[in-house]
Amino acid sequence: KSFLERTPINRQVESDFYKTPEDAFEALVAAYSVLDYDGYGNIWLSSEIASDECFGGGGIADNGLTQWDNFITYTDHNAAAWKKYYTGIYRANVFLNKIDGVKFGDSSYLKDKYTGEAKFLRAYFYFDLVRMFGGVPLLTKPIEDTDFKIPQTTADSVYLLIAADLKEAISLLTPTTKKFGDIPAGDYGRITKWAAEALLARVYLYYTGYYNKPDLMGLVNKQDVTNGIEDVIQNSGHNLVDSFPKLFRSSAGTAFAGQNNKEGVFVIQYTDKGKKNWSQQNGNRVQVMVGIRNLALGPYYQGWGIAPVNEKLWNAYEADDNRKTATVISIADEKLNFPTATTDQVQYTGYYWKKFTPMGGPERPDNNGGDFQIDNFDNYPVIRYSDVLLMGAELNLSTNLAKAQDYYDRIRDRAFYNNTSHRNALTNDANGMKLIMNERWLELALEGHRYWDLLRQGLTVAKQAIDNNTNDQFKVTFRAETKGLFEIPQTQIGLSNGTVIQNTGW
Amino acid sequence: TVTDPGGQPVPSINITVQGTSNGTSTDETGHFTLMAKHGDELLVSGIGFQKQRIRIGDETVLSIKLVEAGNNLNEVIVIGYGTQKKAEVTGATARVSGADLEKTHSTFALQALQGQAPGVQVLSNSGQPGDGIKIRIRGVATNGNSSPLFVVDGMQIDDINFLNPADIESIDVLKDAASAAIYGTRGANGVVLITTKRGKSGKKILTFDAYYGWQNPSRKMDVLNAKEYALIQNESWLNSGKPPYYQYSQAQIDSMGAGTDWQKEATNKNAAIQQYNLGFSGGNDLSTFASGLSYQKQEGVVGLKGRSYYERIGLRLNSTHKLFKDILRFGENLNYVHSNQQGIGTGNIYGNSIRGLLNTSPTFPVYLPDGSYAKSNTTSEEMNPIAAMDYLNQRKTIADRIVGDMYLEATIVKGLTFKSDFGLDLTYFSTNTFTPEYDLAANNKSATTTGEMGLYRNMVWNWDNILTYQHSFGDHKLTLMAGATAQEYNGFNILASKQDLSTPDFDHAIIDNGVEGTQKASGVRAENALNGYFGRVNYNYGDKYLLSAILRRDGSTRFGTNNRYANFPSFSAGWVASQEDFFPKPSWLSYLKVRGGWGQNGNDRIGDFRYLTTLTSAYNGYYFNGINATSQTVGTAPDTIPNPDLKWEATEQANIGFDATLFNKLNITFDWFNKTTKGWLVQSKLPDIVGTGAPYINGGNIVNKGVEIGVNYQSNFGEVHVNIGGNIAFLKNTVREVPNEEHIIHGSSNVLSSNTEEFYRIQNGYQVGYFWGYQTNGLFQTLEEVNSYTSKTGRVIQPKALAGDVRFVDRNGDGEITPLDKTQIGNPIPTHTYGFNLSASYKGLDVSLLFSGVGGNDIVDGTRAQDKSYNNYSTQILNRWHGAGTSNTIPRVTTGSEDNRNYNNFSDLYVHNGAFMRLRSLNIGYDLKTHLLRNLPLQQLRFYVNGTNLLTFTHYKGIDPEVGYGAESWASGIDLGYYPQPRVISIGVSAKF
Repeated sequence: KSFLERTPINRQVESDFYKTPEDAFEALVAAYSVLDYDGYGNIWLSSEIASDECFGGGGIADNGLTQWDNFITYTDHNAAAWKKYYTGIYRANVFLNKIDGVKFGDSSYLKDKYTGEAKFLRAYFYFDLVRMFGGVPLLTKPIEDTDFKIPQTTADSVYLLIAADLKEAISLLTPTTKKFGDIPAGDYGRITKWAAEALLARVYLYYTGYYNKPDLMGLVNKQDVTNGIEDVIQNSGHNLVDSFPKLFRSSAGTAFAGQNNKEGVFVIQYTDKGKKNWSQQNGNRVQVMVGIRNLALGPYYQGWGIAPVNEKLWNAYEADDNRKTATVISIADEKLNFPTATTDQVQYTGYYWKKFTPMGGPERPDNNGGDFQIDNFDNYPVIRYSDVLLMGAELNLSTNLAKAQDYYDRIRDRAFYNNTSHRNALTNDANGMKLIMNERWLELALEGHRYWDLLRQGLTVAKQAIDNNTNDQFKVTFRAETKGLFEIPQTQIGLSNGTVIQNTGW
Repeated sequence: TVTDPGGQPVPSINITVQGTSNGTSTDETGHFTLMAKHGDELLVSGIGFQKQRIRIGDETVLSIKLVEAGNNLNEVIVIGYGTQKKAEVTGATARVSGADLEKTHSTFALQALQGQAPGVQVLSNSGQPGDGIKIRIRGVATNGNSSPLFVVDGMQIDDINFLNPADIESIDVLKDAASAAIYGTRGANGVVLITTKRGKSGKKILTFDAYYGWQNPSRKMDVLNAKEYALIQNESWLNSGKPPYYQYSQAQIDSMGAGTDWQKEATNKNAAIQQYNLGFSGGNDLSTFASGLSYQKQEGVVGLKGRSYYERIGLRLNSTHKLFKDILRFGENLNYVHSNQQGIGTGNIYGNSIRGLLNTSPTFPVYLPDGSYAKSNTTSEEMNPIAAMDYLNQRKTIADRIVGDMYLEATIVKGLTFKSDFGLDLTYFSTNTFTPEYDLAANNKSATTTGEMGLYRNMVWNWDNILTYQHSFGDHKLTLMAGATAQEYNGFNILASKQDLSTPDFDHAIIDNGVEGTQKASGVRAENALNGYFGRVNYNYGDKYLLSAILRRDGSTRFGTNNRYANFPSFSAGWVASQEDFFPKPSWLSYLKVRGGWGQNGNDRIGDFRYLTTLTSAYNGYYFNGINATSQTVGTAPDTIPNPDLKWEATEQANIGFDATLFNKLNITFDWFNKTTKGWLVQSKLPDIVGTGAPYINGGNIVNKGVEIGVNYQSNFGEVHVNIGGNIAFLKNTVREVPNEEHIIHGSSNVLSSNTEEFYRIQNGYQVGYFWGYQTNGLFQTLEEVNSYTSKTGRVIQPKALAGDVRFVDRNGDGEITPLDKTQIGNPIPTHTYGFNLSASYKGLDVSLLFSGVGGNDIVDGTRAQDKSYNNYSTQILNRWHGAGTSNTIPRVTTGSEDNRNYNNFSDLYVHNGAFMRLRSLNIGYDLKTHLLRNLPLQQLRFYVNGTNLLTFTHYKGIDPEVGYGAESWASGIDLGYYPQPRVISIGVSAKF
C-alpha cells in the first residue's frame, strides 16, 4: 500500500459492511432509531396542536406553535418532520437494498423477520408523511445518482406502497411472532405481526375515510382488516390493563402497569440513558414540551407549556370517567399553586397533559445524570389494545353489531370501574359511528390520533370540531382549503428547484 | 572584502573589470579574488546596492563598502524552502520584524500582526486571553477554512498560539499565488512564515525583558438601570395589551435604585498581564545558538477573580553547527511550550457569559445576605449571570506542545546544496471540567455533579528533502531548487466523565471520585497524510530581469484515486527599472521594481474520507425495552453520500505590483491582485428526501480583488531618527457561483436568539456572509400611516401594524411583507483595512505609536436576546417610539408578541456601521545606556511604558467593534455579546548584556 492509501479508522466503509446477519440487524436498528427523533418534528405533537385537543402555547417568543394551532404559514415549518421521516425511509431503503447480499446461512428466518420489520417501518414513516403532507416524493431505494429532484407522487401511490409493505410485513412476520406473554423483555418494542395488522387497519380506516374510497388501493379490503384486527384481539396475547389510570406513570402512582404492558401493541421505546447528550435522540422529547411551564408543581416536573389542553376536552369527560383525571391535569382542580402561569406562557388554559407529563421524584432524569429537557423516558404507545378494540368495533359495526358492542363496552366498562350503567347501545348507523368516534376521542386523547380521526370523518366535521370562535388569543380557524394537510417546508421546495409543489392553501 | 553599510560581509556581489569579461563574485564571507591591473576600473554591482566604480591603485586588498539602493532591499526574505533578498523577490510578500511585533506587547503573535502588513486582517472571536484569533490574508476565499498556513522554522503547522512574540525574529507573509505555490495544496489562503531568533557568531548576548501591565475593558455597554428597566417593562406589557403597572407597581418602581450593574460586577479590575523573557545567544565560527526561557500570564478582564487567564512557559533552543568545514552543517530549532488556560463562556448564544451580563434584568442583587447567589425576581427562566459564570465555566485546559525540526545541510559541490529537514509538532492537551450541583433557572439546573477529563494528542511529522543549485555566469544568475516532502497527521482524543463526585469541587473533579456506573467515555482517532514534489527556478539577469517559476505536485489521503494528485504551477517576473543604464542616476527615484505573477494553489482542508461512503454507529442505536433496557442496541447507517470524484479546491491568483524607493528614504510597495477560488469543497445542500448527509462536492467560485499599498519613510533629522509607516488594503469580495439549485449557502437559523431566521448567507453576486433581511423605512407614527401604506393595488401592506411599529419595505410590491422582500442590508467584510505607525528616537528616548482600523463593514448587533421580553436593553431604548413623533428609528417596546414582528423580522435595524480605528499601541522608552549611564557594563538598559488599545474611534455602540464572531467559519461581524479587547497600561524593562 502506498503512503497515501488509507482507510478510515473511526468509521466502517460501506463496501465492508452488509455481509453478516449482525450487520443486517445493525442496519435495521438504525431505522428503528429514527422512531425516537424529535419533539418539533413529531407528528404526535404537531397533530395534537392542530386538533381541538390542544392550543399552541409555549413562551412568548416561541414560534411555529400558534401557527400549527391556527393553520398559519410559518418559515420552514415542519422541516424537522420532513427530515425525520425521510431519514427513516432512507435507512429502511438501505436495509432493503442490501439485504439480499447478506449471507444468512441457516438463519434465513431472520432475513424474513428483519425484512418484515423494515417494511413495517417504511410503511409507518410513509403513513405519517402522507397524512401530514399528502402526495410526497416516493422513494423505494436510496438515491444514488446525482438527480435529487424527485417530484411528488399522488397520495394513492404512497398508499399503494404502504399497503403492499404492510401486507408483506404481516406475512414475513407471521412465522416468528409470539404472543405478547411469550415475548422476552429484551424484545419489547420490536415490531410484530400484531403491530402490522393493527397499523394496516388504521391505514385502511384513514385512507377510506379521508379519501372516501371503498378499499385500500385494491390491495386491502374491509374484510382483510377486519380479520387482521380480529386476529390481534383474539390471538395476540395483548389485552386491556385492568384499570385505565395504571397505563400512565403520572396517573398510576405506585400501580403503574409498566412502560411495556400488555396493552401496548406497538410502542416506541424511550430511555433516559442519553444523559444530557443532545446528539443522542433516545429520550422522549415531546414530554418536556407539554409539561407545565417552568415550574415543578406537585408530583409533576417542569416543562415548556406547549400544547396546553383545550378546556373542551376536560369538559367532555363525565365526572366519574376515570380517564378524565388520568388524561388531563387541571391546575385548579388539583389545587396547584402556579403564580407565573400567565406571565410566562401564551395561551394558558389552566389545563395540561397528564398523560406523558414529565414526572418529578427520584426517577426524574436530572436526578439520574440526565437532562429534563431531553431525557424523559415515558414510552409512546403508537397502538394500544384499546385502539384495536375500538377499530374492531368500528369495522364490525355494520356486519356484526353484537361484536362491535362487546368491544366498545370493554372500553366503557374499564373507564367507569366496570360500572356497566355507563354503557351506550351502539346502532348500525351514523349514531353508532358517532359514539365510537367519541369514545376514541376520550380513550385516546393526547395520543396523536384525534386530528386524523376528525379528518377521516370529513373536512366539515373537522372544521366544526376544530374552529374555536372566540375573539381572543384562543381563536382558531380551520382552513378547509388546505384539506387539513400541513405546510411543506419552504426550504425543501427551494432545494427541489420547484419539483416539489406546495400544498393548496399554503 | 565587500561589506554592507553595517559592516556585514555580502555574498553574490559581481565585480568586473570595466571593459573586459574578467569578473567574479563574492563568496559567503564577502571575499573575492580578481586579477586586475593598476589603473583598471572595477565595476561593483549587486542587487539592492548602488553600483560603484573603483579605480585600482597599488593596493592588493580592497575593502569595499556598499551603499544600499533603497531601504531594506538587502533584507533576506524567507520564501518557503529557501530565502531570497528582498530586492530579488518577484511575488507579493510582506515582512514584519520581531521588534515591531514586540512593541504591541501582545500575548499572541497573531494579535501583534494586526495593522502591520497590508492585506492581513486579524479578527477575534473574543478578546479573552487564549481564545481563537482568525487571520485572513486577502479576504475570505472559501466557504471552508480561510486560515493561512503557518510555517515555523520550516515546520508546517495550523496555529501559532503557542509562540511567544518575543521569540520571533521575523514574520514573512506570502500573499500571492506565485509565492505561495511552493506550498501547493496548503497555500491557497496565503502562507505565514515565522523565523525564530538565531544566534550570530562572535557575539554573546544575554537579554532580559520584563513587563507588567494593568488591563481593563476598553469599553462598557450602557444598559438600563433598575428603575429605567421597570418602566420599560411596564410599557412593553402595556403595549402588548396588558393593563398599566402590570409587572411593577409605582411603589415598587419608586423603591428601586440603580440596581445591579452586571458588567461592573463581572469586571476583573486591573487584571494583570505580565511577561518575562530571558534570552541567550552567541556563537563562534563553528556553532551558533539562541536559547530562551519565557513566562507569560494574562488575566481576563471579565470573569471571576482568578478564573479567566492564559499562562505560558516557553523554552526555545536553536543552534547551528558546522560538522565538516563549510561542507556539512547541522542544526535544530526546538520550542517547548506549556500553557494553562481558564475562561468564561464566549461564542454563540448558549453559555455566552458576556451576553448574560448584558441581558439580565438589573432588579436583583448578585448575592443574598447569606453570601449565596441570588435568583432572579423577574422570572424563573432568568439566570444570575455571575452565578452562571461561576457554575458553568469550571474548566481548565493544560497544553504541552513541542514544535521543532532538525536538519542536515551539505554542500556537495560549489553551488549545490542538499538539505534534509525533519520536523515534528506534538501537542498534548488535557481538559478538566467540573459541573457542580446548581439551580440557576427553570431550564438550567443540574442535580448531579460531574467530573470530566479529556486528553487530546495530535502529532504531525514533516520531512523535507531539498536540493538547491546556484550558479552565476556573467550577468546570469540561476537558482534551481527541487524537493520532496511528506507529512503525516495522527491524532486521538479521549473524553470521560463520572457523576456524583465524592468531594464535589473543581480540584477533585477527577473521574475516580465519581460513582461507578455513571461513567461516560468517548474517543476518536484520525490520521491523514500528504506527499508533495516541488521545484523552483529563479533566474536573474544583471539584477534587472528576474524570473521565477514554481511547480508543485501534491497528493493527499483526503481524495480518492480519481483525483488524489494535483499540480500547482506559478510564474512571476520582475524588472528592476532603476538598474537600467538609461535610468537617470542619481534621481529622486532611487529604486524601482515592477513585478507580476500568476499561480495556482490548492486547499484540501475538508475532513477525511469525504469521497467514500462511511457508516456510523454514533447516535443510531435504539433501546428495546426502553428505560428497562440494560444496554443500547447498536444501529449503523451510512452518514453520507459518497463522491469518488472529489478533488482539490483551486485558487488562482494574478498579482501585479511595484516596489519603489524615493529619495533613498521613502519606500512604497504597491500590489493589485485578483484571486479566484474555484471548485470549493462544499457540502452540497440537498433536499432532505435524500435521508442522509449530503456529499462534499466541488463547485462555487469566489473572487477577491484588491489593492494593497505600503509606505515607509525613514529619516534622520540631526540626532532624531524618524520612521513613519502606513499600509492600506482595499478588498472587494464577490461570490460568483454557488453550486446548488438555489445558488445559496444558507446561514444557520437561531443564531441571534432562539427562533430567529437565517440572516447571512453565501449567494451569487454578493460578499461571503452578507447580511440578508428586510429593509425598513422608519416607523409608523399613527394608525393613519399604517392604513395609508398601501401597494399599487391599494392593499394595506402591514394591516396588523400599530403606531410605533416598523415600516418594512415591500420591495417586490406584492402588497405584503414576505421573505421575498428580503435583500442585502449589510456587509461584514471590510472594504478596507489599514494601519499606520510613527516612531521616533532621540538619543536614548524612543516613542512609537501604532494605529489600525477597518472600514466599509457592518456589524449585526445581536446582543439583546429579543426572544425574552424580560431581557435588559441598551440605553438607546430610552429613545424609543412612545407617541407620534418621538422616534423614527427605534420601535415601541413590546413583549415580542406584536403581530408586526418588529424584531422577529431580521431587518436593517440590527445592522450598524462597523468601521473603527484603534490606537493599538503606544510606547515610550528610555535607554539609560545610550546617554546617562554610558559606563554601565551592558549594552542596553531600556525602561518603557506601553499602552494598548488606549483609543477607539467608532460609531458602533456595542462593547467592542472588533467583533470577529460568526457561527460558521465564513461568517463574521455578528455581535452576540463580545468579550472586549482589554485596554492595557504596562511598564517594562529591557536589558542586554
